[in-house]
Amino acid sequence: MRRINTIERPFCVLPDARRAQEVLASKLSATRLAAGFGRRIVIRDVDLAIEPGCLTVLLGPNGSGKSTLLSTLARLLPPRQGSVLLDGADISRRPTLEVARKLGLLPQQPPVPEGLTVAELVGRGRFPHQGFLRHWSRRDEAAVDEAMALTGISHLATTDVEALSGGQRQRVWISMVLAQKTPLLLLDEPTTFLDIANQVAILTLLRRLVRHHGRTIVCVLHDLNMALQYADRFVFVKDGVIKHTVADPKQCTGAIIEEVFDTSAIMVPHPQTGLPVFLPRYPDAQGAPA
Amino acid sequence: MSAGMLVFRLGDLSVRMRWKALLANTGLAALLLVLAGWALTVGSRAIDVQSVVRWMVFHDLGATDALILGDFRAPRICLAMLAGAMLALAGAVTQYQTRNGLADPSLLGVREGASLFIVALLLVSPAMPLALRPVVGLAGGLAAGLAVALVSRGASPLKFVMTGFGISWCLSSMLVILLASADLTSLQSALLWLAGSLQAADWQSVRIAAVILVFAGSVIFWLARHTELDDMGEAVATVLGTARSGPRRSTLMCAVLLVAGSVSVVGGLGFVGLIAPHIARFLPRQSLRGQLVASMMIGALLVLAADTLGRTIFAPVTLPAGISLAAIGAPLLVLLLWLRRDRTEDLR
Repeated sequence: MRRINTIERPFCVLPDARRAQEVLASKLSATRLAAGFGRRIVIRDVDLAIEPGCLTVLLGPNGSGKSTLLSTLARLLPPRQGSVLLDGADISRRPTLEVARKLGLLPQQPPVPEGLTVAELVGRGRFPHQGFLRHWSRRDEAAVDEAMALTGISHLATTDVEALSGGQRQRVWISMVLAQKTPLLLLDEPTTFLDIANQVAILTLLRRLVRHHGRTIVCVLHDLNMALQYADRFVFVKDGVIKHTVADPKQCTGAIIEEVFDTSAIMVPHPQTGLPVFLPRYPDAQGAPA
Repeated sequence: MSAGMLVFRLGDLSVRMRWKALLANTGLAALLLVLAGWALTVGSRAIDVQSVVRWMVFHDLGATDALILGDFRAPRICLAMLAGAMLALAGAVTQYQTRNGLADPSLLGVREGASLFIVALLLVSPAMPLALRPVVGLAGGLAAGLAVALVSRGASPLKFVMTGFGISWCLSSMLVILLASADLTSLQSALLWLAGSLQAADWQSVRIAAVILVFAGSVIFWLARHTELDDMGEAVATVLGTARSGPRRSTLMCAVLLVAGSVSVVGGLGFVGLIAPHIARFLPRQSLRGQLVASMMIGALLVLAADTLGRTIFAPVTLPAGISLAAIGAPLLVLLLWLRRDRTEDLR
């Protein structure tokens, strides 16, 4: 795997001073991309370059095409027009196992296989590194152990996945894509249906992976305020097109939110970080929800 | 982390097995060997163990006994095990792939297709050489399999099974029409064959079955690590690097080949493909490859036991293996379902 120095890395606004020593380089981009299901075109004219070594979030209203965009970036959906480039080459023309060593994706709520322990499910992430007679190399073992340690589920290794709570299960799935050891990670709503403590834990982990492990993460999130606290870059999607790309949470203004979500919002800075938090604006001057 | 696992590493190669599963599969293999040895000794003419060993090791036995062992019992036993293994492997892999415990390959219309072609041939020219049966059966089975694949192209696994179900009913009604128009003597031989009989076993059919099993089995086992990911949904499987449809299609084609091959050499044996994978689930948990191996051995055990019982219990009358298999298999299936009635949570 080719590695590049952070100094050569393109500019990207990071609130923290600490940065990864090096970024695992894999570049993902889309040009003039259109994709959809059946006759329906869901996203169109998407030009997007994923900044290496950053946590990018896709934000937008329900049905705006965020998940479709993520699926197309991960070659799950064939583009109607344009192409997705992974390290400069068309992703659909590259051997799928080779792509699987560079790009991992966690879909929304994948089906939970029956009768697997946590360690076994995480071990499935090693598939692209294994072979007919290469079941379990030392590297596989180390990757699985590390992935479980990162998400704090090492103690659950021999537990059945079916017996876990939603939050634990989500950590298991994230461990599985981590065990895949791909420089690029795409996550579709990893925090949806989780309580606030689990959301914070997972977003903290994602930021750590970006800062200290050199991963590049693209993530669909629904919680705008959580996204603003943790992510580096923000891509606003509406009606299948990219409306805004913002490289600093402080540049996310009420005007952008209003345009993208069709709802009026008030911005207040987070008391500790100063990062923006958006609250609904009520038409009634008294301030109470009608 | 690797608790309960055996890991062998040599350079770039590494093999991992659950030791409990390894133990279980070794036990099954031993059981199979013992049963095969015992089956050699019993029959309308009992031959004791010493004689069997003498025949196997020194090829030194009276001409009659050597003939019985070499030309009748040995090929029959081999064919029973092969047919059982083929049907069970096809059943196990189809059940896993369609995530449907009812996906016996006979539901896919393959068995009926092969049967229809062979019966048609039996009725048209009763004197046709035996060697022609596998070819014709294969053609019929593959034709039915292809028809199912074409009709359900791009459909979900469930629709695939449903299509197979429909086509198999069409084919069996055609079979009934065919049988109803047959004369009595050929009808009897056709019915006997349809019930699944190992009466006509010879080394040639053993060779045919072995070649089909080795070929289709190799493909299925080679692709098993791809197939195994099917239980995480298509998106995860694709992202992990399995090709979208290639491995799945090849695996299903090989299952069709296995069923068509077994039908052409032994006729219609029911239950094995359905029940063997279910029995395998009672063993300690194992990987898909392990499950397939276990299912194959259980299938071989079932058919061999059914055939051996069929030819000894009412000796000198021999029951076709298909009938004794149904007699054993049906109660066994009910028993299995009853035993597992409250084991839905923990199948360990």
